[in-house]
Amino acid sequence: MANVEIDGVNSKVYTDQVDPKTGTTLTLGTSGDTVSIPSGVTIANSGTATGFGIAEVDNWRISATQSISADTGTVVNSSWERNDTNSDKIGTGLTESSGVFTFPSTGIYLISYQQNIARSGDSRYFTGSIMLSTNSGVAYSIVARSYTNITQVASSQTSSGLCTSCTIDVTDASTFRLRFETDGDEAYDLRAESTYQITGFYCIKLGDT
Amino acid sequence: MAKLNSKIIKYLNREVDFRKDVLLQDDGDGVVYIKEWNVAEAQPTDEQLDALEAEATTLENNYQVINTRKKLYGSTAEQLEYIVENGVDSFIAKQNQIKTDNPKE
Repeated sequence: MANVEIDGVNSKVYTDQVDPKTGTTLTLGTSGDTVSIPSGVTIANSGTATGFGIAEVDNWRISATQSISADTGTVVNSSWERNDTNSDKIGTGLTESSGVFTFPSTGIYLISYQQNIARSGDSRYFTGSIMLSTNSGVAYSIVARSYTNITQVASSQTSSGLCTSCTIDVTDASTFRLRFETDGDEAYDLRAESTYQITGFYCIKLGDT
Repeated sequence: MAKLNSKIIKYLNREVDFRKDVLLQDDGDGVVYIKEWNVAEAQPTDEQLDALEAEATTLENNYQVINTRKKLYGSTAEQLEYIVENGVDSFIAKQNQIKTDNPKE
C-alpha cells in the first residue's frame, strides 16, 4: 500500500486508539527516526515492556584460592566462574579467558569488585584493582583501586577484605579488556568460594556509550 | 627457590619500593617477571639474579626468623606488662632467650 499523508498541514492526527491493520504488530517510525515524548506527557504502562531497562548484568567469582607472592602485581585468575547460585546473567554477559574479560557490547558499565584475603603475619598493605585495556590487552591501566592491611590477631591466618568500583565507558567492545589485579607487601592467599562470592565482581550496563 | 623480590633486594643491596622502584608482575600464570625497572642501576639479567639464589634464600629465612621472634616477643602492651610484673632484668633475659632459640643464618 502506498504511504498516505494525513493532515500534512497540521501534522496532527486526532484519534483515541491506534491498532495494526493486519497482524498484531504496530510500528512507530523507521530506522533513524526519533519518537519524542514532550515534557509533561506521561506514559503509563500496564502491559509488558521489553527492550527497556537493564540490558546487561553479570556476576563472576573465583572458585579456587590463589596464592599471591609479595611485592608482585598479580592478575586474579583462579578458576573464574559465573555466579550460578540463585543467579544468572541478563543479556549476553562477559566472556573470560585467563582472567581477562571481554565486554558483550559498547556502553557504560558499572563494575564493582570485592576481594578477601588471608595471611599468617602482618602486612602494611594489600591492594585490589580494576584494570582496563583499550588496545586488546597490550597494556592495562588502573581505573579503580582500594587498600587494606592485616595485623595478625592470632596464631592462625587473619582475614581482611576490600571493595572498589567504577564506571567504564566501553566505546569499542572489540578492543576493550577488563581484568583484576592484586598486590601486597607480603605474600597472602586470595580467598575463594564456589557457592558464594568472597572474591569476585558484578557488572551492570547502565546505558549506551 | 628464592622469590624474585628477594633476589632484587640482594642485587641492589638496599631496601626496594616495589610499588615505585621496581614493579613485578604475575599475569595469573604464576610466572613473576620484572614489569618496570625505575632505578638508576642497570636491570639485572636472569643469570645475575640466579647467581643470588643462596643470598636471597638466606634473606627469606632470616625474615621468617624475625617474624617468629616478633610473635614470641608479643605486643608492646604485653611486653610492658611483663616488665611491670617481672622486672627489666627478667624481661631482657626472656628476649635474649628468644633470640638464642631463633638464630638468624
